[in-house]
Amino acid sequence: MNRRAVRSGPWLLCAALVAGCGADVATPAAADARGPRVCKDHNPLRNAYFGDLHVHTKYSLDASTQGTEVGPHDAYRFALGERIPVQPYDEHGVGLRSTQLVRPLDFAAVTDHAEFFGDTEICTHPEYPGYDSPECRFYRGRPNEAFLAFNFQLALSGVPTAGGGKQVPRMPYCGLGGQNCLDAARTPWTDVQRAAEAFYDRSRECRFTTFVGYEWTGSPRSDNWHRNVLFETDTVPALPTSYLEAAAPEYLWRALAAQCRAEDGCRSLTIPHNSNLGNGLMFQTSQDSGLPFTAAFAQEKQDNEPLAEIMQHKGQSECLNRGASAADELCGFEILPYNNLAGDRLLNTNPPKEQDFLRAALKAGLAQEQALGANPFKYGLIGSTDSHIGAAGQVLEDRFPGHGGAGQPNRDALPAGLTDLIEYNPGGLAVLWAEENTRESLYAAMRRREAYGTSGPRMTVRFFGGAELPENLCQRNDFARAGYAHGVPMGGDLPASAAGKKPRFALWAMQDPGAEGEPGLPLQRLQIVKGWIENGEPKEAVFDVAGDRNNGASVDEATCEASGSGFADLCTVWEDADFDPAAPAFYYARVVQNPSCRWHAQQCLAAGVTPASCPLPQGHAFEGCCDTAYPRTLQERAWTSPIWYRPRA
Amino acid sequence: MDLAHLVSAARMNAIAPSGPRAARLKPLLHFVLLGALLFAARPLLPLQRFTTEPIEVSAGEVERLRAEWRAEMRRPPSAVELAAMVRRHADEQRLLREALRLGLDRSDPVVRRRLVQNLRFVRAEPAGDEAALLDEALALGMATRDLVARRRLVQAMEERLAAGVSVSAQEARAYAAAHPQRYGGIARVSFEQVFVDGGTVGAEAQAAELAVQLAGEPDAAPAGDAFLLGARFTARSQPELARSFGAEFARAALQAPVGVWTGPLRTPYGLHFLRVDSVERGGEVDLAAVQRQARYALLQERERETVQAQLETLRRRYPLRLETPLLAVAGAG
Repeated sequence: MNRRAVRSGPWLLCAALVAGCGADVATPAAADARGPRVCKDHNPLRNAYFGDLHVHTKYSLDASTQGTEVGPHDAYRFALGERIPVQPYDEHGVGLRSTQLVRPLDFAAVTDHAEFFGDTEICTHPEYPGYDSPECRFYRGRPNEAFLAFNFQLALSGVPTAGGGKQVPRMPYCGLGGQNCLDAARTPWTDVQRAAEAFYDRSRECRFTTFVGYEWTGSPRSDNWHRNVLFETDTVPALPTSYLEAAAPEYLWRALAAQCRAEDGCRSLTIPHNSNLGNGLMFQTSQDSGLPFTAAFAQEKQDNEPLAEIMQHKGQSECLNRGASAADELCGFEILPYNNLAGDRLLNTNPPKEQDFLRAALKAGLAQEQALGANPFKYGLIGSTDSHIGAAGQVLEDRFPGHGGAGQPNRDALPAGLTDLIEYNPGGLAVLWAEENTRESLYAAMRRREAYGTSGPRMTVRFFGGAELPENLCQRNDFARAGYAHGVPMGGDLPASAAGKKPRFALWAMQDPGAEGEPGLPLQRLQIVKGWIENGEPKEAVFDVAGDRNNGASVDEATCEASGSGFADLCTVWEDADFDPAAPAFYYARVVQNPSCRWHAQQCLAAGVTPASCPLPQGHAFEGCCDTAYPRTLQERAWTSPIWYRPRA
Repeated sequence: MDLAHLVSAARMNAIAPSGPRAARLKPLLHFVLLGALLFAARPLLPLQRFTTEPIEVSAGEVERLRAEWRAEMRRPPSAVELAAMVRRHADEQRLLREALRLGLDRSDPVVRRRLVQNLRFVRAEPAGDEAALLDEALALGMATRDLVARRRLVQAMEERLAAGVSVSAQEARAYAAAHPQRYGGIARVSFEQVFVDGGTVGAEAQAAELAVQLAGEPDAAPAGDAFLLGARFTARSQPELARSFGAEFARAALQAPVGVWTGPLRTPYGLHFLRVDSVERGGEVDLAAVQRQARYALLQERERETVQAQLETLRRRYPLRLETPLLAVAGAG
């Protein structure tokens, strides 16, 4: 028996460990007994689901030092719209403050840093009582056979018991009463899994979907290399591979390939974030070994990473307002003034690098595909928050509780000072077009990149591409049906078309309708961003395709009142007149909202600090309000995943 | 039972063989017996002296907590917040004491790895015997001083305190039935709509005409203006409709009468007429489908309560002693 197989073999202790121990439980999935589940809101033309795939809780030890008690269960409760208490806690452990979403999310993933999990598994840790049981010796000696035994247990339906209930047989080494498994189950990674199970709605209501996941926190020299790992099902590796075990993304992917295999019911993908803080690392075109990309490596990267975060708490990663994108004034949005993770401690004041932004990476991906035959940077685009207080989806500019802080204190007066570093922001949302709100359906949407990101608001955006798209699509009530029939949705590859035909893009966006106490703002315009390779050179162009950039919409900085007209929805079918069939290209849509006040300006206003109050004395709690490097107004937006064009040979 | 008793008991109970050979073996026999007895008695001996000393929190410690809060929240803590922080700090110290008492600083792998890493970094020594490094780190008190190790010890201790909690199927079912907003069915409505785009000129007039037309000929099926989400909606819940249309429309749709045209309803997008085909009342909890979820959610709540209850015990065992009353400290800075 290959001893090394113990390390890299199929170690899947999914719901077996979690569900099989302890008290009675019915069949693992009700669907097994009654046929596959179909959600009541099932729509073959797909619905837009809003969520947050980047949330940290107490298990990420870089969360607030004030002993935050928000765990994965609380984060999911919050995402569902329940009110959760946050620190500080009184003598009974009850939070003195609380926070709540006005509009629940449809899905979320808690992604704590795996480097801090330190999980042990009962059969490999001598301190646990079950370590010497025959089952564990079997497991250590013959991990593959043992694995089959574990999965067989999962497949068993409930066995009737004398009491009239049903019990799934426990794992033998769980011991009497399941105590050994309960002991082993006391780890952050299993708690993450249990929370995901507790809040994944497996009924036909399909209210909410959770994903088991974690963050791989690679940051050599403080250069950001982070990725979140998401699993489609509840079958996940027993030990999440962290940066401590895999020191480069490719080693992470290979560990996942070994430990999370489709034939065992495990599927995973990784989502990089904060490329803006990568200092050139995130989109380097060489492997960790120093060798350049090969076709196989580029394909491996593409296969593992269908999505990237374009917006989150630590800035946007779409484009830098210098260099190739200098003419795109909207690239000045939420740019951090430094280029890696050491920046916020003022250790690094080097400016951000153009290559760290996704628009540049998408172009580089086209060039790599030309050279190698595979595109390593074929990223769909989403937003998320990266909240460190478990407040999934808390993206509102007007009640941003800050990176570590959390909402208004119940009994105290308004806090003095901004609730976060001025360069940060509340983060964004991930939106997926899927037939229904289930793991299978949402995960499939991620895989085909039918996704978009927002900087917070909830616009609904559809984007299709294809030379055969009818020109009158915007006048048709079957926009989506025709879009799918005659073209490809966001994230897709343009179908081949007859020579001489130019691709068309149909883009329809609806403003965020708003909610109680959370009014939506009208849209200002729609844009299509094109990137392509021309004579070996990367090029880009931004086209205004609908709306009006000069609609005169504005915000009164003294009151944060928005004024001016806008559009409740905008639709257009745009044809690329400059299309060159020999040039690889991508097209993504950007939906731009009317101007509004940035979060810090809203807090300044609430504190009575207006532009007229500036300059403020040094050391004043709201000194940041006078920092002109940060504009008081901004334009929220959405970015769709690109549609790619690859020249036919 | 102390060592002297053990030794004399061994002497008295040992069956001593006679003869010169036996005389040489006796000490060896005693040695072996003693060793065996000590080995057997090992679980009874505490790993560390069991202390009931109070948790001391000095004024300096309180100041440190205040500064930590300030650095994190960018403002000073209020009196209530400071008191809560001190309480939490004291609870952490209690958990740490218990963790050390149980030897978790040695056995927990996260702590071990962290401490060994720290020393390797300090020594600039990539190699080195892990056990020796761990000993050294523990002797330096690093387990409770290093932030990562400390937090991990506290977590590991909380996990141990929550061990043994379980939830039965009946309890899960009762929990699910008690939380219909989380597990129950949701009211859903299926309808068709006719839409008038608010952006077009004459939208109000067009809507007025449509209202008349639909009242007179309900099945005329006028097209109206194009709407991104189409004209037919199946089994939509109020939250789903609110996400697409806004809260007001969603409320109205769920209350609209079946089979007749209602409207116009106003959204940011324009004016909507809708005719409900069917309404599903919701409210029923599908116990079989949600039982597992409910079980896990209730399990976690029980664990949390258990940890709190255990903490109460620890608070009595290790009372808090403040160097300076908090009120006096709160006044400063």
